[in-house]
Amino acid sequence: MTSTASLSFYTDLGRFSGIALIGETEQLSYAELEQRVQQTELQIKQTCITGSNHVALLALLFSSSIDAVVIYLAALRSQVPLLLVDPELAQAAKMQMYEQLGVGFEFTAAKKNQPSKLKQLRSNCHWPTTGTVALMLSTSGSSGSPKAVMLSADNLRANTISITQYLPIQPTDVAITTLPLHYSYGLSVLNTHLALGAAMVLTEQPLMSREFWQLVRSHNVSSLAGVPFHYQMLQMLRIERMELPAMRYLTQAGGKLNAQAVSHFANLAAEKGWQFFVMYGQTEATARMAFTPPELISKYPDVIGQAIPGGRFEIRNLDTDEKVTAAGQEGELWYFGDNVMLGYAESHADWLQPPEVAQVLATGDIACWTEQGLVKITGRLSRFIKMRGKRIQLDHLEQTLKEQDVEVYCCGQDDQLFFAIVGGEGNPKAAELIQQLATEHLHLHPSLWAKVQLEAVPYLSSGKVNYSALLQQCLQEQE
Amino acid sequence: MMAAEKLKQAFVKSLAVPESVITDSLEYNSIKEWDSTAHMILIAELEDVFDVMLDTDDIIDMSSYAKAKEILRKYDIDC
Repeated sequence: MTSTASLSFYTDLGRFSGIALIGETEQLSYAELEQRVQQTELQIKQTCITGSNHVALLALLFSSSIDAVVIYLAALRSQVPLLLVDPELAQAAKMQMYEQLGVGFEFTAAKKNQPSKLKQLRSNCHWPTTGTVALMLSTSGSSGSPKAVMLSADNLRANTISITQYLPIQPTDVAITTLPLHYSYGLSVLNTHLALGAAMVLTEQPLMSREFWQLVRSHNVSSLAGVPFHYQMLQMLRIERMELPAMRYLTQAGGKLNAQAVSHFANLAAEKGWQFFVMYGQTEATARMAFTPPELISKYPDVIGQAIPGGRFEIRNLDTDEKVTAAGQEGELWYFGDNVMLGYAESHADWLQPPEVAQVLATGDIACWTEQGLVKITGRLSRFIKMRGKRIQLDHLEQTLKEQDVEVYCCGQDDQLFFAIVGGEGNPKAAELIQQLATEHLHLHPSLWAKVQLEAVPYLSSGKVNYSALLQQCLQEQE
Repeated sequence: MMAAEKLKQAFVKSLAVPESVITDSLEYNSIKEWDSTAHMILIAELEDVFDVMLDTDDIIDMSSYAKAKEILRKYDIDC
């Protein structure tokens, strides 16, 4: 057996001994997990694949439960394409996504007293397909039109192998679901642990609860994964005062953690004998693209580090598209590797016949090389920000408000959104509509967004709105 | 301002909800306004308003309005 084959996280799980999954009411050994996956695989094949090999798209409401993980693994094994869905997603947004992508069946995992439920959503949902799409992850959330990243089995395998090569995951390790499993980062934690025969605690208890930390202690959790927001919480909880003898390492991704916080956790990790990994990735690259070796973090707390094993970066000049090699010169960050997605799905035609494998990704991030040959992110080309790790499309917000006759410009940085209202006149209900969008629709805490009144919009010579100047003005206004 | 009123105002501000929502039975994660973000802001607000440094155990125990009162009593704040 080659080392690649032995790292599969969804086939032949009976090869491992010990505990695989720890849920709220039960624990499953690898042997038991293998058995459960085999049963569910049959069920999925019977419903989602016809005799003439036509295949239906299956959606999974991916809660952090044993049953949901079994369905996930079974779908991968049966080669039925699977769309992972946030169980909290609003019904209307969910139905729109199902309709647009042509979802045939929806699997809801078992909950307390209810058994799992496999529901057919439409007739005529089996189609001939190339079979290359294994998994689809939504990146739009509740903002923007439904769009999902399409990943192949090869993508998942490649990224899982790369991650296990740089993170010190051992078969005796235990991880815990700090992140939802329908989110690529959370999913990569599950995949890598199953690939090595390690264990995972599945819980939906929040990080700031007694129940969560009881699970961490009683199951000897050995690592924590978090987006910047989690690190703010860990800082507030003063994790250094907790008794966590089994802890070995921490990982951070899902947006930029400020250099000060990075240094804080690098120092803390050094004192505790833990390792602290700052990482970078996107769902478009399955999950991970870069990491900073822990020994470099305290010296370079503001970089994303180096490409993961098997991957490669290029930085290209924004105007000429030429490769930038000198340190300090900005350009767009490009990534090359087997973990780059097949493309986006916006309709069922996309996943039935995905484009040729490209293995190249324009990340939409602006970056430069450092003197040490590490990569540092300095800005973003794409018009989105991350709120608590979730993407918010700024153009979509502007569009939504425009449809309600509100003239507003949206800009921001991670965990900080601005609605810039220009001029005095305009829709008298503007403030109210913005408030509604931010709190009712996006569920943003008031500390995460602000309305700013501006005299005029800054423009570029091309006539386009100069959003980076707009952001600077908004930041100044706020002070 | 009395401590009880200060506590109520800290909740109103951090959770961004009307005063009428704040009752002893109000629990963390029971309403969408009291999510993890609001919880973190609430803890910072309490530490600021009452000039205390809460123990980790007290932070993770702060699961309801009634519990918040009980915890603050340990710091000699009578709500």
